[in-house]
Amino acid sequence: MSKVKYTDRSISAKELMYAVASMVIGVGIFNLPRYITTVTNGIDGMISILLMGGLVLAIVWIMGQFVRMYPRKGIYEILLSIIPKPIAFLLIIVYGSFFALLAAYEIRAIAEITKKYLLPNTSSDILSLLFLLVTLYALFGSRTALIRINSMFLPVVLIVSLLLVVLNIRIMHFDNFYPLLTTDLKGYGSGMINIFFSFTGISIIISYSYLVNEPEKASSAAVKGVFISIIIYAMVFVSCVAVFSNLGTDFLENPTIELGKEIELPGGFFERFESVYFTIWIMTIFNTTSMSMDSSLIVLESLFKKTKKETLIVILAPIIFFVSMVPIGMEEMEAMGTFIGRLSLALTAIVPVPLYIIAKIRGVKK
Amino acid sequence: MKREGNPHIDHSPLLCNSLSSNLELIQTTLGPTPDLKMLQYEIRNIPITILYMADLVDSDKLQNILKSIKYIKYAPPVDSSLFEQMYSDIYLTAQTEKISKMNEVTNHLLNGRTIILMDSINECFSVDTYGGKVRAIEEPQTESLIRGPKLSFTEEIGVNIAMIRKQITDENLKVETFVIGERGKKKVALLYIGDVINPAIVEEARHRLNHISIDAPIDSGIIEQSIEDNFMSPFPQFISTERPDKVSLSLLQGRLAIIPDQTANALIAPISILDTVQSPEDYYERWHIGSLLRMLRAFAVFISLFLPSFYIALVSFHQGLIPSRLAFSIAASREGVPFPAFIEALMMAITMELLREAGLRLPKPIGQTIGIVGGIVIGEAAVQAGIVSTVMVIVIAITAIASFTLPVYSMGVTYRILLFSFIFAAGMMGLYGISLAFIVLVIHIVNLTSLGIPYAAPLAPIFINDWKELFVRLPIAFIKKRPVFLDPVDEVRSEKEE
Amino acid sequence: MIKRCYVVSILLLSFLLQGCGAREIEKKAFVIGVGIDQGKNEDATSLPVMNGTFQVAVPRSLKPEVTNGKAYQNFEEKGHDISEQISKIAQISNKELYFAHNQIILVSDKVAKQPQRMERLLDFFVRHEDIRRSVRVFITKGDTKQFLNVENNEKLPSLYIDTLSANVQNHSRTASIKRLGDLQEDLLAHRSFVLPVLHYKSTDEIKLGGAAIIKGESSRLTHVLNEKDTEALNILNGEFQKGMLLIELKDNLYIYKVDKSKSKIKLQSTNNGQLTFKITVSLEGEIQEVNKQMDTRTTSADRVKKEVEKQLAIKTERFINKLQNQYKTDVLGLGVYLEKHHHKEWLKLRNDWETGENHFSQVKINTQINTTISSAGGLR
Repeated sequence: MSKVKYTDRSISAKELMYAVASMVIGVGIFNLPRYITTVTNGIDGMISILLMGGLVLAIVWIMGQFVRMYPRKGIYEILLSIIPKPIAFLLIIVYGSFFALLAAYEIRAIAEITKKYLLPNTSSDILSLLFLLVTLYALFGSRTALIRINSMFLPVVLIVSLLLVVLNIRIMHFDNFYPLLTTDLKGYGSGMINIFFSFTGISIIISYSYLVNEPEKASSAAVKGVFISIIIYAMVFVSCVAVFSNLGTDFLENPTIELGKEIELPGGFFERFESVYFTIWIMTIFNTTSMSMDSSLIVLESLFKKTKKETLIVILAPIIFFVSMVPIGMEEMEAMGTFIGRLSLALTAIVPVPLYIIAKIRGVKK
Repeated sequence: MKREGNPHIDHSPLLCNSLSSNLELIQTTLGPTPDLKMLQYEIRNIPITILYMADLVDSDKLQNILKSIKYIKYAPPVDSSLFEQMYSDIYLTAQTEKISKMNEVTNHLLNGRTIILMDSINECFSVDTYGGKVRAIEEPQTESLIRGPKLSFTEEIGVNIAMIRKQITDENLKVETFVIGERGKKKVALLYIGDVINPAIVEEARHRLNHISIDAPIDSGIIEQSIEDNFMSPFPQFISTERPDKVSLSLLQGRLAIIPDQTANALIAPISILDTVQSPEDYYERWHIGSLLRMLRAFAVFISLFLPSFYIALVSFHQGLIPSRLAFSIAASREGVPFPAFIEALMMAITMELLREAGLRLPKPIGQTIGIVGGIVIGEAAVQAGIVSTVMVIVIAITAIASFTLPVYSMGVTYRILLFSFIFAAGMMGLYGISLAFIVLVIHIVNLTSLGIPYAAPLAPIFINDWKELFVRLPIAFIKKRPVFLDPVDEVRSEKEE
Repeated sequence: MIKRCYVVSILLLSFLLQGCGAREIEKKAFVIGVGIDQGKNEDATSLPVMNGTFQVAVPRSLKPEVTNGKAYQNFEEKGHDISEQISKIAQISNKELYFAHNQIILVSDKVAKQPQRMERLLDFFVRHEDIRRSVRVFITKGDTKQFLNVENNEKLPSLYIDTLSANVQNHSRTASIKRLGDLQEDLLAHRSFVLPVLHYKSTDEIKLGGAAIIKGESSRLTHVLNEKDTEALNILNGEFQKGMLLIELKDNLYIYKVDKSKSKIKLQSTNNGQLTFKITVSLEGEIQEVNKQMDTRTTSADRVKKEVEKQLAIKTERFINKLQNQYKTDVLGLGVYLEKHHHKEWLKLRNDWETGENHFSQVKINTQINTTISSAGGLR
C-alpha cells in the first residue's frame, strides 16, 4: 500500500537538527555567562566559547559518523556489536541513568527558577511535579511527535533570543568588552570546562540516531544543530557582558534571566518583555527534559524489550522525581549540575571517540 | 432489531407469485401508512400494481411511467412477455432495475422509487422517481463572504456533486459512493481528484467509510464522528463547510471531500490546525488583503485563547510584569471587586457563552436585542455594582469579538473550550500554568492526526514550502506547489513553463 | 486509555492547587519610591540606624475622576537595614509591600557620606528579584522624607522625580541619570562616579541639578559639584546632549544649544611615568537665540564657534584643575580607560590611582574641543 511520505515513525535529518539544538539549550544558558565571566576578563570568554564550540562540533561530527555506521540501530545494539556484553551493559546503564539524572536536574532547576521569579509563594515540589506530569504526557504520545514538538518551539525560542539581544542594545556599553586578551591560559581552560555543561545535551544524537531516515545526513544535521546553540550562547554572553559588564555578570545568579528583565520597551503593554520571555524559556526546558527522559526510556526499552512503554514510564517517572528532590539548597543544586557536566564530559567526549576508532578498525559486523 | 452474525446473509423473504400476497406483505411491513399510494391497472388481463410513497417521488417522473404503461396497454402485443416489454419500455424513461427481495422493495419505496408489481411474477421493477420537494440552492448562511460564488450546498447529493463538477471539470475528479446506515441507508459520496491526492489518504478514507456502523447518518456530523482519528480531542479533524468553492479549493490542494446525502454540509479532510484560520476569500481577494486577513485571524486566535488567562496571570500573580501606570489603573478598577480575577474572568466568560447561545437560538431580530441587553446593560450594571472590574469587561469583550472572526465554526467552539482551560491554568499557576497548559496543548496537537496526516503540519513536521500560504498568502505566482504536507501525487499546480 | 486518565489527573491536581500563591493586584502595596535617611542610634549596637521612607501608590485616588485625596502614602520606619524596616512596616500596613514598580531610590547626602554605607544599603535592591536594575538613584540635599511629600500636577512625588529626570531638555546642569544596575557595576569595580542631586525648593517643587561625587575607594560621597562644574564634567564626559552655553560676544549674548556631544579619551604618552591624556570633545549644535538688537546682523558662525571653543576650554580646564588638585577623584573615566585599553599600565597604577601617591592628580590632561554650528535658526 502506498504511504504518505513522512507519516512513518522516523524523523528527517532536519528534525534531528532542531532536536539537537533544543536539547543543547537547556537550563545551562541561565548561568552560562556567569560561569564564563568568573574565570575570564572582558569579552575574552568568547574565545572559550568558540574553542569549546569547535571542540563540541568535532565531537558531534564524530558521533554522527559513528552512528552512521549503524543505520537504524538502537544504541544498545551498536554497543553490543563493538564491545563485549558486560561492558556494553554497564555502559548503557550509565548512559540511561545519566539521562534520567539530567531530566531530574532540569525539572528541579526550572522549578527553582520559576519559584524565584514567577511564583514565590508556591513550593518548588509542586512546580516540579506539574512539570514532570506535563513531560510524561509527552512521553505517552508517540516518539516522533515528541521530537517534532521541537520544530514548533525552536523557531519561537530563536526569535525570542534574538529579541533579547536586539531590545537590549539601548543599554549596552560596548566599552565593557575591554580589556581584550588579558585572561591567562588557565582562565580560558576553566572557562571551556565551565561551558561544557551547557553542551550536555549533545548525547541525544546517539539515542535518536535509529529514528533518522537519512543517516548519511545525520552528522551534518547534528553539527548544524549544535552550531545554532553556539550562536545563541555567544549572543547571550556578549549581551550580558555588554549590559552588565564582566564583573556585574559575575555577581549575578542568573545573568540571562536578568538580561530579560532589563528590557523595557517604551510604552505599550510589553514594556516588560520578560513575561513573554519566561513563557518561552519554559518551553525550551520542557524540550530538553522530555527528550532526556525519552532517551532514558529508550535505554530502558532496549534492556526490557518485552515490557510495555507505558509501564516503563510509570516506573521511571517517580524515580526521576525523587532524584530531583534530593539536592537541598542552591549549593547542592550547583554540585549536582557540576556532577552531570562531568559525567557528560566523560560520556560524550571520551566514550564515543574510542568506540568509533574500535568500530573503524574492526569494521561493522553484520 | 439488532443485526447478528454475518451481515451478508440475508434472511429477507423473496417475492412470491401472487400479487395480492405480495401487496399484503408490503403493507404489513410498512404498517398502515397514509403516504403509501397504490395504483391498480390491468394489462392483457394481468393485474399490475404501482406502488410509491407520496411526496418522496417526483410527479413528472411518475407521470412518464404512467404514460408508458398506458402506451403498452393500447399498443399491439409483441413477442416478448409483458414483463420484459414493460421493463424495456420503462427503462427508456427512467433508470430501472429488477428486484426480487422483500426488504429491497420496501427500501426502494422508502428511498422514493416507484415499484411496479405484476401478478404471477416473483420479480418487480423499481423505477427511479426520486424527487419530491427540494430546497433551491441558496446563498451561504453561516460562511458568507464578500467575494466568491454565492452558492451553498443543498440537501441533495446529486445537486451538490454537480456543483463541484461544474467548478472542477476534470475527468480525474472521482466520485465514489458508499451506502451507510443500518436503518436509514444513505448515500455518501467521496470526492477527490485522482491524480492529485495521495492514494494512501483515499485508501484510509475508504477503509473508514466502509467500517462505519451507525443507525442513520442524519447529518454529516454523525459521519464525521464515526470516522475521525481521535474522538477525545477537542479539535475537529474534519472541516465542515457549506461552500462548494471551499470544497473545490481543498480538492485541488490534494484533499478529499465527503458529501453525504441529505445534509447541507460537506466534510473536508485531511486538515491541519492552521487550515482553520483560512477562508476561501483569502484566495479570491488580492494577496495583500488575503495575507493581512490571515495574519489578523491568527492574531485573533491568539487573543481568543490567551487574553483572559494572560490578564489573570498578570493581575493575580505577576503584577511586576504590568507597566507601572497600567498596573495602577488596573488596581484602581479592581478596588472593591469581591472576587479574585480568576473567578471574575470565569463569571464573565460564562456569561458571554450564555449570551452567545441565547442569541443563536432566538429568532434573528430578538437575537440582536439579547446582544445589546447582555453586552451593554449587564456589563455596565455589573461594573456599577462593583461585581466585576471595568478592565475585565474589556478583556472579555475583546476575547469574544476575536473568537467571532474565525471562519470555521467548529474550531471557534474548540477555542472557547480551550479558553476555559487556560483560564483555569492561569488561575492556578499564573504564567507558569499558562506555559504548561500551552505545552500540553502543543503535545496534543502534534500527536493528533487527521486521516493519518499530522494535525500540526506544516509546523511540526516543518515544511517551509507550505508556509507560503500559512499565516500569509503569497501571490499566486509564488505558490506553484500544492501543500507538501499532503504529499500529493501531482505536486505542481500549473504545468505551464515560466 | 492511560493517556486519558492522565489528563484527568493533571486537571484534578491543578484543582487541588488552585489559588495557592495568588495575591491579587489590589492586595499589594506598590512601592514607587524609597528614601533613605540617617537615623539616630538608639539601641546598643554600633551599627548605624537609618530611617526608610517607602512611598506607596494609592491607585484609587489615581483615577482621573478623583481630584482630591492623596494618591500616595508614605511609610516611615527605623532600622538597620531595609528588610528590617519592611518587616516593621508589615505591622502597620494591611498590604504587602511590593517593589516591582519601584521607580526611584533617594539617598540623603548624610547617609551617602558614610563610607561603604551606600553599597551596603543598595544590596537589598540589587538582590531582590522583583526590583529592576533600571531603578534610578538620586542623592538628595537634606532628608529624603521631604522630597517624597512634594505634590504638584503629578499626584505621585516619586513619579514627579522620575519624570523630572526625563526632562533634561535645554540643560545639562545635572549629572546624567544613573540606573541602579550601572551603579552596582561601578561600586563593584570601585570606580569613582557621579550621581544626580536633588534640591528641595518648596512643598511643590524639587530642583534637579549638580552632581555628587562618590569616590570609588571608600564608596562614599566626598563632594557635591555645583551646576557649573557639572556642566564642565558633562562636556568632558560627552554627556552634554541638550546642553546650552551662554557666550558674550560684542555686547551681545549668544546662546549655543548642543544637540550632539561626544568625547574620546586617548593616552598620548607615558614618558618616564608621566602619563599624558588627551580628551577630545566634539559638540554639534545650533545658535538658538541671540540677545541683540533686531537690526544688527548675526555674527558669522565661525566667530561664534571660535568663541565657544575658547570659553569651553577655559571652563573645562578650570574644572580639571579642581578635580585633580582639590577633589582628587577620577570621575572622568581615565582610570576606566586605562584599565580597558592599557591594562598593563593600569595594573601598575591601580592601587594608588586616587589614594596614596595619587597618580590621578599627577597625570597631564590635554583637552581639545571641536564644535560645529549647524544652523542659526530662521534669522540671519
